[in-house]
Amino acid sequence: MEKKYWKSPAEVNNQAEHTYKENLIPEGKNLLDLIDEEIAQKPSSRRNFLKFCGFSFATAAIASSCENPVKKAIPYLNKPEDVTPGMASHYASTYFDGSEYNSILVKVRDGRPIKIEGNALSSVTTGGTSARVQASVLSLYDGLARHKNPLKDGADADWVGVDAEILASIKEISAAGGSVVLLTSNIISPSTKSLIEEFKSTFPGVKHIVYDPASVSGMLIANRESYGKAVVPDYRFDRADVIAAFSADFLGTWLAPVEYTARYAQNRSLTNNEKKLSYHIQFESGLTITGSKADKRVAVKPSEEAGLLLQLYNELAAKSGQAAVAGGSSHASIPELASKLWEAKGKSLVISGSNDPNQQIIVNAINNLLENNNATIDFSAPLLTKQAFDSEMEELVGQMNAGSIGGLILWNVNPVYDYYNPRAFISGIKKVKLSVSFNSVIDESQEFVKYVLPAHHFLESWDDAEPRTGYFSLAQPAIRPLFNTRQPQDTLLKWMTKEGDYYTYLKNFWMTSILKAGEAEWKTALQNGVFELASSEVAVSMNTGIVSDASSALAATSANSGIETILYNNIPIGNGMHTNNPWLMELPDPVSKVCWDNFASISSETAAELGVSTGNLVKINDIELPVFIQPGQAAKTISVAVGYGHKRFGKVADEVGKNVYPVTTFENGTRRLLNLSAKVDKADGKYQLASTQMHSNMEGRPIVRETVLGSYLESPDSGNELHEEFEKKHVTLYKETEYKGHHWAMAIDLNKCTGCSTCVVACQAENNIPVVGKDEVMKTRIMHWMRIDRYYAGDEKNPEVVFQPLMCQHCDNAPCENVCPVSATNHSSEGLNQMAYNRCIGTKYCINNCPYKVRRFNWFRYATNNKFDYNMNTDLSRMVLNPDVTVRERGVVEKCSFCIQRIQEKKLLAKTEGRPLQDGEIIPACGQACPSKAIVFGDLNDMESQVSKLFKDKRNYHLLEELHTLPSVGYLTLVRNTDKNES
Amino acid sequence: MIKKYIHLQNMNPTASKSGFRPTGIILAALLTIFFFIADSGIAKAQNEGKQLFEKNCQVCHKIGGGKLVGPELLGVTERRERDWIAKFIRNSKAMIDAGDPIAVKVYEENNKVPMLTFTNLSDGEINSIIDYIEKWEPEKEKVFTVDINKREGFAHSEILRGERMFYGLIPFEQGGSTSCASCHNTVTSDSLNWNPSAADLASSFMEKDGMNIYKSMGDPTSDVMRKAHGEYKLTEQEIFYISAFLSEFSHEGLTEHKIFPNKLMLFILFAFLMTLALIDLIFTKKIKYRVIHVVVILVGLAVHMNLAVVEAQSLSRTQDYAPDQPIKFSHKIHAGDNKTDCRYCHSLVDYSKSAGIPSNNVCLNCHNVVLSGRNSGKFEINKIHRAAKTGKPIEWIRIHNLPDHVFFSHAQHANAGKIKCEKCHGDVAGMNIMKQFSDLSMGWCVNCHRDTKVNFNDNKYYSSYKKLHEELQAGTIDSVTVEQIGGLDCMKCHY
Repeated sequence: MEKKYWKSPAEVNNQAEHTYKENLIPEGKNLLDLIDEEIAQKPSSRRNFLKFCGFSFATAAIASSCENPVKKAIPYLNKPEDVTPGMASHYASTYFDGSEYNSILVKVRDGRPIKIEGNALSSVTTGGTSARVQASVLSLYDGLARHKNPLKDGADADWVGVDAEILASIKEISAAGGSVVLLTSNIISPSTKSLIEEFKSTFPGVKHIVYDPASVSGMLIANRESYGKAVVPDYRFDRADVIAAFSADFLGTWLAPVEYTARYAQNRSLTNNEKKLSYHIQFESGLTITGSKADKRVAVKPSEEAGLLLQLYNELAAKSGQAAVAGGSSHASIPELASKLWEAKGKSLVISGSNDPNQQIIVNAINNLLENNNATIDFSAPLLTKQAFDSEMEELVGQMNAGSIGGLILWNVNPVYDYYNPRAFISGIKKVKLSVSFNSVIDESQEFVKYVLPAHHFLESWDDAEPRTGYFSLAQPAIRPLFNTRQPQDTLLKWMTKEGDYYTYLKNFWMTSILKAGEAEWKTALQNGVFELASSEVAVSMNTGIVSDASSALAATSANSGIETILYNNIPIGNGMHTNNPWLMELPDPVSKVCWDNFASISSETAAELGVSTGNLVKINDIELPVFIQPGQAAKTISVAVGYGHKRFGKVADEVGKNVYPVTTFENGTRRLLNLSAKVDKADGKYQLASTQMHSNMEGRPIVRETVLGSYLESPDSGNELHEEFEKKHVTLYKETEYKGHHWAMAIDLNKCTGCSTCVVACQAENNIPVVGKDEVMKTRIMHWMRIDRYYAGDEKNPEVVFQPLMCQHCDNAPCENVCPVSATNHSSEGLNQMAYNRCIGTKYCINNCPYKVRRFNWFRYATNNKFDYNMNTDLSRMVLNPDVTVRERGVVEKCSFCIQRIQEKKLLAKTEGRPLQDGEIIPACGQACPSKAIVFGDLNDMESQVSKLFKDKRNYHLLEELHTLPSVGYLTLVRNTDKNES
Repeated sequence: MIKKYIHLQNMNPTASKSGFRPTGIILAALLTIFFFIADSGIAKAQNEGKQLFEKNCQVCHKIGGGKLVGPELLGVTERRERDWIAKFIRNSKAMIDAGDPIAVKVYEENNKVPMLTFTNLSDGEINSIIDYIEKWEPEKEKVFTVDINKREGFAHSEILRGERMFYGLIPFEQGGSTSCASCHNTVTSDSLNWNPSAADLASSFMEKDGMNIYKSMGDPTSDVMRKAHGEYKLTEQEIFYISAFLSEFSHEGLTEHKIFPNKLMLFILFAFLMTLALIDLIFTKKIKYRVIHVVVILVGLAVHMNLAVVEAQSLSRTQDYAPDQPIKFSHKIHAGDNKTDCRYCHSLVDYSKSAGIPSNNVCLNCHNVVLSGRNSGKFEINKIHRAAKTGKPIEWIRIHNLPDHVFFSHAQHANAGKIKCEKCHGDVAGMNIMKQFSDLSMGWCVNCHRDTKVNFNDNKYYSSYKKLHEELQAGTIDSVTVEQIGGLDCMKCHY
């Protein structure tokens, strides 16, 4: 059955798309009139022409008479043993920004980190990364946003002076019985925790409080009451046959998305003769990538979730013969879900992203009924990246305002920006005698503290991490500190007047407490980056006595008929720590395809009720936000991403979007990224969002092919019947090109791709792709070499969603090659569609003739033009550029090269070692970054290669294959685990 | 319009452009004889001992300066028997092996680093070394009548006087046949001159802890300098004037050597001839045969076209580029005469895209011991030691420059392709001044890729090129060139 795919509501309703309207012809005039006017305003154009001619001859003459510049070759004075100029080294390290963990490899070229890859040795993140991790290398070189010196009262100070003053102050407060609070983000470093304990015992009165703007306190409290363990268990999506998630965007931003994506993808794979898929149902309000991947998505209001959970509990209780609890809604999809879950008892998983402890208790009770504990929910190696109890922070703010806190030390937290009640925090911190910030970047909170003792960037630091119990990893510096900064751990050691630096402390701690071994083991751990202990099985049993209290509390909440506001972490920006990163800022949100702004996602019905449409503004508690009509958004809900609207965070972040953290609420002891009673009104004015949505529409063609599991099992080529048909029709008059050596190709599994957009940032980092800014994005001039196309299908209220990564298809019969007048783009003997920038004269014929719209034109000299003040126009920020990839000149076309620099590098390595290339040795940046391993690259001429096998898979098809372009990129059909009748 | 290149024509290291005047030679010879006679016998022996010590011992031993590699030698003649010392110098290893208790003790005290054997020295020579050590006295602080630490702020008259002395316009009081400028060039040179240029001297003089011109003129330490400066006995006042000039010269630098613009003259000549021919053809009509006009014009046009094409092609190409390097480093001496392997210094060539300029510590591997050069004395080698001391690396001038959009890997060519260095860099072992041998144009790359045969059967990597192997076996092709495995693809080099 042909599905109708569409990319925006305007398209499905056959309306004119909202496009960029500036600089177009004013109404009532035609183009010729305008040209006449232009000429009339500028007389003597012939003489001008001659002037320009003369000028250009003169410049040509001057330019050609210039001598060649003298270049210098400056060798090392003493060459370090482990540095080879011109060759990259990789150092294993750890990324942890306070909420997201990733074991990484840092690619260091001539002393500067230029790229981050996943560490495949880690069994936590298994070599995958997220977009935030990929982009984090850029923030290292942010010379404007990072602190360069310690500050006192906002002025540069010296370390010795501030240390002495702060230490005296701490001692004074401590002696007077006052308290000094160390307010940190989640700390998963075992050595730092031990250090903080020592610090606390050295200075009585020091307290440590963990603050997290996107905490899971509700779950921690619920688990403490249910199991006696205030931890986040390990969710085994790989073991779950049925997954039911309530507002938990576990593939995007919830808890540990990289780890979860890898596990989830294992059960969504059909490439290794698997005969089954997991069944995934998602209940959520705003459309997330997790909801997009779900086999069934139910759009609900946040206030309805409690009722659904109670209903599900009651259904399951009935099946297991337990007593029902009061309350519960009567949603049609729940009984069916209950029976599916019940069938998959012990192999199912129910999760909730709610921060309400009562809801989490019901979720625990449901999983308990399903016997999922110790099966898909594992407590033996719980996740440690979330530790904050929101009530502690609430209490602290109260104490600060009461004047009972003597000192406050901020460490990687920015409460002035992201606390739900910033005014209370600000008035509190003003009453604190000693206020210190360890934050490494300039932020909003800094204005209110006396001392800033800036930390290193994580790529300059020693550190360790224990993201899950028993899974350790180490972080090592990949570059010397660029500025006069110091690790907070070193600061604490200094204040305690301890011998040695944090490196020594860390090493001793590891050798005595973790490795329990010597120097050799330490070096191995450092080299691998990870050290994993076999975890002992921890079985839990639930205290079911608490269920009735929780359920009655939930049942007592009254239904809400007003508009509910959901504040969420979006994929690019997350919680707002990385807003100043231009790569992330320009990364389109995978679902809305909007970048450079946050906005109010509203369903079209609710928008009509409010009398607004895309381009209008709404007011949420006096915060004006642009409206974006989002298909799939639950009725009577508005979703707004947090993390935007910084006031003092850097040139990219400042004044972009609105800060909606003040809309979040605190209720029942936990922080909620929700506001059920926010005032929503229409506001005056218009606003344009930069959307990449309609850039490259492939109208009405069988671009995405999909089927359902049942049909697939009957016939593997279901949904893909066209492929064979087109293959038969491929006839050509010309001699077909023969590839005598390699024939590179890529296969992309649409089933595994979650749309997380990590590949887009990885590609940008690898290939020196410039950031162009909001205005240029609105003119469809975004430079990304690969994009994730998102198509909707079906009902606008709750559409099916498909993500399709798209880069140059490297067609063997490429339409772009034939039209290039200078043969700047042509075909290589290894099947690559190559692009010689220096031949390109910028006719853009190739862009016009490319059916996939993957070619990009350099409208400006982005690397030196100060109007593009993002990441390429200062000497410091240019240090992130990959020296193996040309920085493109203005006026040339560029596009995906299949990471030719990596192909050449690995070919050369094989040649020098005199061995054949191994399959999988060459991985392009996108494929390497992908957490679900949806992108496979290899040699088609190698019959045994993975990509050859995938190309022979019945699910494989090519985009627009009817055009006989013979792409080297294959897509594997999307197979949904739904009934045939439903689709 | 086009970069000026330095040609290697005059390889005589000491000959200056003006050449020696015969009177100068005679004068110099007379002076030398006079000095030899005037030297007393004892002083001569002491001088021989000193020279032998500096040549053979100084690398590891000091007199009155503490332990270096070997022990301090001050007072060694009192501690040990003279015969024992002589025996030890000749062959210490034999003494240690024979179990001489003192020798073994000395050996063990010095980290068991054995002393070199000096079987090549005669008894007399060894004796003169021991004499030298015995009679050695610390140098007395010489009292100067001028301010020897003055580096800047010389009076204008002092600078002028120094300049005239340097250029030989004012003769030195105690003789000296040629001017300073005849060896220490003040104009950029188009030939190899082992002597430091005036700019080199000036910058060395101006450096902090730089050259002490009074000491180096009064008491030259290297053979080369002793030979060159032997005849000069400058007074302190004269040196002071010259230092005034050097101070001034350090701001000026070398004057550009002007090359006669041959091509431009040719261009103008033919333009003139063609104009004449045209005028005569149309107006004056003095030459009867019109064919002469036509020939002149045609030849003129051909010359002009040829010049234009050749010049246009060489735009931004730098074949034969041989810039002055910060150190007068000779590949001929290192790679040619001393047969140092290219890979000893350019050790990255097999692994990295760049072959690597050796870091300072690689130079010091040898030049820790080799302190004085055959042609340049100590001046050039001292630059390495100075770099190590000041922490400022040598800034070499890069000769082989590829455009930024070209990816070239030495590992690919030298290691995987087994191409000899000389193929692209020419006879480096014969070059005193390194120059760019190939034009490094794309045509040059491509032609080589067309012709070069790939090591197809030996390297297992190529086993994946199954079709080519089949063709080889079937005999349709007899060898595989780089072109056939994609050597002409744009993205082989441009990405």
